[in-house]
Amino acid sequence: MKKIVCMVLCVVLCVGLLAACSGGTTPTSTPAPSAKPTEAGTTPAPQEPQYHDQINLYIADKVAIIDPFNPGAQSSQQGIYSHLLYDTLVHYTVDGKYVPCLATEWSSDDNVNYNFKLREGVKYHNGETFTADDVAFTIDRAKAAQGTSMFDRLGQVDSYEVVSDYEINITLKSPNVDFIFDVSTPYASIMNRDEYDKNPDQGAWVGTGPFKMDNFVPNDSITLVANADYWGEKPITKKFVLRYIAEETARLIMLENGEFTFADLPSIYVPQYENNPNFELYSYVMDNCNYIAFNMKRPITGDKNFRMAVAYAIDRQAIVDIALDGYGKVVDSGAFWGNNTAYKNRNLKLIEQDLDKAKEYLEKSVYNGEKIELVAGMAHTIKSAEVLMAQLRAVGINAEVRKVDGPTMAAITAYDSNDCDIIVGSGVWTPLGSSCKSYFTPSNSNKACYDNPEVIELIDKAAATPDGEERQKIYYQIQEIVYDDMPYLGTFHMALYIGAQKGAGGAVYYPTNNHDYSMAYWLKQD
Amino acid sequence: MLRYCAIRIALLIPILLCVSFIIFWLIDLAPGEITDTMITDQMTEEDIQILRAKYDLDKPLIVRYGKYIWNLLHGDLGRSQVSNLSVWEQYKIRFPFTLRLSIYSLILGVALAIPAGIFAAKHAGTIWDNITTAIAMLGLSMPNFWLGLMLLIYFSMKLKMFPAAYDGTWKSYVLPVVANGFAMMASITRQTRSSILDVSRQDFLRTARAKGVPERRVTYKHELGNAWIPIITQIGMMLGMTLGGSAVIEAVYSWPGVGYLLVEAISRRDTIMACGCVILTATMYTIILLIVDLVYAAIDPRIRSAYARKKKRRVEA
Amino acid sequence: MSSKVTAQQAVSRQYEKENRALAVWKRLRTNPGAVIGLIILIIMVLLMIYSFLFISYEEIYTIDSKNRFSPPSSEHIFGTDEMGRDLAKRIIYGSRYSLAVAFGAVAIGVIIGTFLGSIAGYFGGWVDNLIMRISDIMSSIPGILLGMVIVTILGPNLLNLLIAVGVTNIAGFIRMARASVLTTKSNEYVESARAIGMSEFRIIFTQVLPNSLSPLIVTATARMATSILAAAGLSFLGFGIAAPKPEWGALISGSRNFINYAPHLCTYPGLFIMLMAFACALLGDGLRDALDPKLKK
Repeated sequence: MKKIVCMVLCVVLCVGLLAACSGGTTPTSTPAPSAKPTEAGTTPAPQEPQYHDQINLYIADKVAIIDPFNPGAQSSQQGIYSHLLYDTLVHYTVDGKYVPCLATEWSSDDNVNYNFKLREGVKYHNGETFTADDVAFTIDRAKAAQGTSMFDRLGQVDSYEVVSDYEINITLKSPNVDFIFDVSTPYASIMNRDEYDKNPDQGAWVGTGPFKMDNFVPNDSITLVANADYWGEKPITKKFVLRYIAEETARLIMLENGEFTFADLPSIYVPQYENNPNFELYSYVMDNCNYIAFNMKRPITGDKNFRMAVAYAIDRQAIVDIALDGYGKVVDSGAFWGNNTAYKNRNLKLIEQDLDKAKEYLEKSVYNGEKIELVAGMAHTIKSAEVLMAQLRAVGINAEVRKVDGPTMAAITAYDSNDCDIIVGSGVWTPLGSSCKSYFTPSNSNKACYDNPEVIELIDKAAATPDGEERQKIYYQIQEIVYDDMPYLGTFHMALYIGAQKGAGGAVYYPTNNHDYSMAYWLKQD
Repeated sequence: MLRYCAIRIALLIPILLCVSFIIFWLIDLAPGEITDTMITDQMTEEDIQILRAKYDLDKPLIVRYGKYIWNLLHGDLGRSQVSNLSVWEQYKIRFPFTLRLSIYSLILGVALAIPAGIFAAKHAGTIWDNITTAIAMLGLSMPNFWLGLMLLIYFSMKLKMFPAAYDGTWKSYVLPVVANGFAMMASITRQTRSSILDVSRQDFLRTARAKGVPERRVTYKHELGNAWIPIITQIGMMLGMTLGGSAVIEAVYSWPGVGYLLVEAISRRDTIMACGCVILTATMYTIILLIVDLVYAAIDPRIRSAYARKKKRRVEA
Repeated sequence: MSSKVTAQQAVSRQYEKENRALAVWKRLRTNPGAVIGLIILIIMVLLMIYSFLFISYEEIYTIDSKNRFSPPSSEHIFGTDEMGRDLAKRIIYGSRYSLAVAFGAVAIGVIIGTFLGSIAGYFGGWVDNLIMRISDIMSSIPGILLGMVIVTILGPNLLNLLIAVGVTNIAGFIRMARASVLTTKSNEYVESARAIGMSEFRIIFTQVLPNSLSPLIVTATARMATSILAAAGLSFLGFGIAAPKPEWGALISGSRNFINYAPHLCTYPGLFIMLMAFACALLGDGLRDALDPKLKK
């Protein structure tokens, strides 16, 4: 008997020990984190701001390889390091203007033939001079690089003509008003031909950008150093370390301890940083739109009444409150469109939750108690699906969450073989209305298998129509038709929060997530 | 002896062939293939076929496997289908981290476990024995990732004593080694205790004590000397297990080891990478078991002589 | 004639068996560790029965956005999770998954493993060689990897998690069963069974295996502990049961991002996993001592 008591005591003690660690030793106030203590003797000149030499940046996804022509290199963080390493022909500012970059002038009469005049005197990191030949090389490689973002931007090029070292004509396969936007994204950065010839594996380590590659550890970190010969505005910081950390807790601790200068904050921790004088907090709402896609080819979800029932059953704010801890933006229109994407039809009324109506529609629909799977793949979409499941069950839809990984998701929801009922996903939107193409024409992003010839025709028409009222009319019409067919229900736009050390800033946050950190700085604090 | 080692390693080859085939086949069975996540909206059906052909996915499984094996026979483990980096290079960079983590954990485990095991055995049946056994038992039952998270919270977040992720300093080893080593310590403690108890019933100890050999010497020389075999088996097993199963603790501490490569390879359907990692890990595992066998021979004269006798018999025949 | 003999044998063996079980139970009862383990396990089983009777699935998935992250209180003894659901209820509900894994995964290992292992041990020769190579192959693939691949192929749900962990158990049981069969098969009663014309399979399953039962039971109990941990590890890596089903490993995995904010969400499921594994390990130890009295002085 004594032994039993003893053993039980032992268990309790051990558990208690762990618990005690948490209670007793918590420091009451955390000292201001300063990773690199300033030297004691030197006092900085008052007028000249003093910067830290190194910026450590958290990247939200691993980078397995740096090579925009390799399909395996596709990572959500490609835009971030591309901004630092490379330049594009045209630069797209966060307020929606095109400014010269590697191209100083561009023009097109018919939206098929484009002419670019290139900047002279730009040097690659390897000392080579940038010429039209490099643009030609980039287009050639991109067109043969199926499965890459490069291909998506430059695959539409039919032919090109190198007029001189600093001029190139590009002809597209079909008219596209938005081609300038396509070449302005970091996914259409200009590579160097010679470097690729010499060094096929590491050809993409050389660009014309403000930072040079110093060291690359696959799936872990990218170390960049400032390019002293940069043609544009010289970067402020000397060294950039981009690092991926899988564990959210570890990332937070590293931010707390000053090991990260910038790091994405999980929404739950935002309040702690909002009122924290030791940190800066940056935030923006993404253009991406989270959605519920109904597979239009399946009997139940193909029934409009069922889709209406779901539309009336969901409470978007509750989804945001739980899946994003309240730090997101519920869609502000009934249209399935990006948050700030051009030509958004804000007149379409968002259907608000109404459980009685939901039940009414469900009654009218073909639904008969079958199990409906909510397919989701990402952390936040799985959470949204979990909330959704509870909401759908409340009106009598027997919903279950089905968690799948990336390749499975891609395989089971491919346009030709989509056999899922409802997909809870997150869709990419750019500032341009033409990004709706992915969702409303036959493609793998069209998770609803939505196929309406009228819409497809309008989308093609829009691509050839220059910006203006005419174009707006077409896009409004598309949204109205889609709104009536209801293949998708937009739910919310994610808000992203970036915690930074006190005095760190200078980054440009694009709602497309392709942040430009090239002018980022970290002021030393006294 | 050498011959024995050669046979053991040669036996590995058919095993590796089967293992690699199983992995190839299983990943092929899994829904989705490596190209599925790469297909973009601008691609036509033809583009998709070109892309699949780049990854040999237009060929049947057996052809792809044959090609893989052919390259393997030429000493080429291939290149990751995702990153296009040589599997061997990647593994070579990351394996030392996993190995270091395992070995340090093991050292910690052994350093604490053997004295603890002896202590428990010496006090068998008393409160001390029960306490030690209970702690060991708890260590065995604690999910290591949970312990890892708890340590992270208290020592990294609250006390700021150790970094939360690998940063190249010795400090970043402390938490993962403790989280990983605790379970090892537990199982080695139990093994030590029971083997010492087994040995302690044997007559030669009574003889030694009767001869007047000091108690310390009895413990360390005679008892431990004879109890080593199962302890070493246990240690070898633990080492092998952590080499293959370190993915969880590596995930908690963002540790740049091979476990992560594996998880990543599977979730991206990178067959070549997954296969290469498994082959290399299985080889390491076998080599460790072989080393354990050799250590047996080194510390146990009976086994040593068994090898020798076999050899002599062969020579005579 | 022979049937009469076997009938008699059967009776006496039945008697012996009862006697032996009783003796084992008596010895087990005096082992405090085993008793604690047994009590914990019984409590877990009772909790599971409670959850079947009194906790509806609705309570598990229903969300209460006003009540998120409440710390442990008298109303919610373990607090609530990020969706405002009572953690205690979820943990209790989740006991079914852990118990299912503990018993199911081990059952897969025991059934397939002992079947193959005893055939290997009994027949020897090429059968033995073949089966042992299979076992070698299985044991040289790291268990967690095999588990991950299996879950990836079959999809994340309870049955598949169970299979994934179960498959990794097989190799151990093959070796275990083979070794026991090898030691028992040369016994006289096996010879006599063969002499009275019993079929090979009948001999294995009525004569050989029952006599190698004790190491099997001990290993099985110990494997229950490791299976629970392995399943929790797989769940933690995201290869487990889909939300909102509250599998314990998935509970930790799902709340690890709030660990600084709401540590109770991580702590309690971890404690339960630990208790469960602890109970199995204690019971396994106790059974080993009880089944093999030679070990105990």
